[in-house]
Amino acid sequence: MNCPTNSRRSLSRGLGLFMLVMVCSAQPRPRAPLPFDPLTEEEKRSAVKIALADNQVQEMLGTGRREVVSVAVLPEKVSREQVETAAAGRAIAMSRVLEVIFFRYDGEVGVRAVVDLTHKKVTAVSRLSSREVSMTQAELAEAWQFASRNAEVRDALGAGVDKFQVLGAPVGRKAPSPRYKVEGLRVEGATESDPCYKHRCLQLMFRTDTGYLVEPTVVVDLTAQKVQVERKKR
Amino acid sequence: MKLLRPFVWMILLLPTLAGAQTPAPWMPCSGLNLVDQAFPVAGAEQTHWRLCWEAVSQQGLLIHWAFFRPSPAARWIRIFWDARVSDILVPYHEGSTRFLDMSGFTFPMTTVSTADCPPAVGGTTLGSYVCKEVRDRGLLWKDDALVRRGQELVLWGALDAANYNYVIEWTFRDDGVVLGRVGTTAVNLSSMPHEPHMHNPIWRLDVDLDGFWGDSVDFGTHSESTAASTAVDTEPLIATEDGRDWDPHSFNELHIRDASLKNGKGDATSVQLIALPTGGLSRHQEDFAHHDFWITHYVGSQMWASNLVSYISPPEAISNADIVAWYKGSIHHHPRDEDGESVNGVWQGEALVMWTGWMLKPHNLFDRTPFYHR
Repeated sequence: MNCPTNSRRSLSRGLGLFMLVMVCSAQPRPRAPLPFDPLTEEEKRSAVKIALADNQVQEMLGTGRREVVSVAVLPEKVSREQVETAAAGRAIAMSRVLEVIFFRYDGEVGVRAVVDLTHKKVTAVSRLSSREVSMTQAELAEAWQFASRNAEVRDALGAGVDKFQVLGAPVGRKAPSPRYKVEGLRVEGATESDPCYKHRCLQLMFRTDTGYLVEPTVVVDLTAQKVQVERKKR
Repeated sequence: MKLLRPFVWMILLLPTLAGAQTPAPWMPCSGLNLVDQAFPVAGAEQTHWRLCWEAVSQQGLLIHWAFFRPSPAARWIRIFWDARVSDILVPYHEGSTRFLDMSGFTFPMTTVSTADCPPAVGGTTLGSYVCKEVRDRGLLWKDDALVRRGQELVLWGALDAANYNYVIEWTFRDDGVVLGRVGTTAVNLSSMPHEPHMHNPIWRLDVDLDGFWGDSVDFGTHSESTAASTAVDTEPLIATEDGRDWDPHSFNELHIRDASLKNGKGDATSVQLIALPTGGLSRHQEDFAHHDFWITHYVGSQMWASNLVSYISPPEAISNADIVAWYKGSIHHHPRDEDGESVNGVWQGEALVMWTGWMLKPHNLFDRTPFYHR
């Protein structure tokens, strides 16, 4: 409903103004999300922007290739007084605090920024090891791009090799699933002698409309840019 | 004025006549993400849960804040600040294949529909990823011909971890008990579908009993030997951050108590974290898989199970503190023909859901048997 300014003329000045205030104040306004409500895409973008404007984040991320791995609500605690006030049924002012994780490809490190979205500021920044940064659809796409050029992989997958695709949806969103899908699992090396103990490795899995292919087993070491293919002996 | 007096009294007495209720706590969530459930579902309210949930890619189904009220006139008691599955360690028996199925990859949640969550059995889909079920849970108590059935609120969602789906389930019962379970299902690892393996979900439970301050943890232990007819139960304080092992003969539990919370009888209230293993609890070479329970001091950034040992180095004092309890469950998956089969080079079939979990049971939260009638 609009709040017409012309309607004031037809009413006595005082009453008209009163009515207008009452009507306009009854209009539903978009409510700000509460601290632990799910994040909107716009909030995620804002948090990334705030984090990227921070000097320490910029310094840690460098100028090379990087990726936003995740943006999530961080359930940080508030003061005892606030906790008691909320428990008694009264609203408290809590910031919307988010955790933004970036991955820096050069050197394979992560950067964690805690963003207070309410006050539009970064409150903490820390470095994460590669192991502490989860792998993403973008890395899976890269791994598949790399593996799909490998002769052994092409041979093992046969004529259908180019039908396989990586789901392109951003984190948290579902896109229509392709019929031939490449999925990935991060491989954790069991011992230090295993390259995947420290490297970023993905085991690729090939899903068709009837199920997963039993072979080949393809592991892509993105750090070393190597593809390992295993086929069962016949 | 005299004529108005009866009406004034009626207005003043109305809340008492209607059964005065303590005001509900303010919650930091809204809409579908705020769940408010009174029990029993029909008739006069006796107990009540109020909680927030969030479904997040990679992190699964999270509980943010959970309050329980043991009776309409009682205070709301905070149970959780935050509760989540922190990670799932999946080592295969052959040794070289090991996955961290939550921290390793940014897996999305799977969608749920009315096929997952039928209204006919008390199901309601909450958005695209979560099912809420409010249902009968069988016997609450029975005494000869007298009987009372219980009810529960269940929230569940599933993480789409490539070939596997992990069902993350939270149950809030009418008697104040919370149950956490993880179920593994979907497709065996196609490259080695017959290889036995473990799925170890590790929960991070930020229990803030009546607030984050003043909590302590005791290690419930039952001692009894075959050489004597007596038994002893002890509850030594866990004074500093540490890990603990669950021994089936010792009925080990974490007893989380608040320094000042007491029930109406003046008895100290606690909640007891009880392991509900399915078959057993495993050990693996990863250092965070060397214990079943861990207790840490709350630090907002400490969310990842695989870093647990670094979180307690050096160990901090955790008596009268803000504590976080961690529990590792295990699912031993020994593949069987029921899981599926290889047909023309394609694995076909679905591994049926296998579960593991825990219970958080109130102790002296109520003044007497809840839902008791003669």
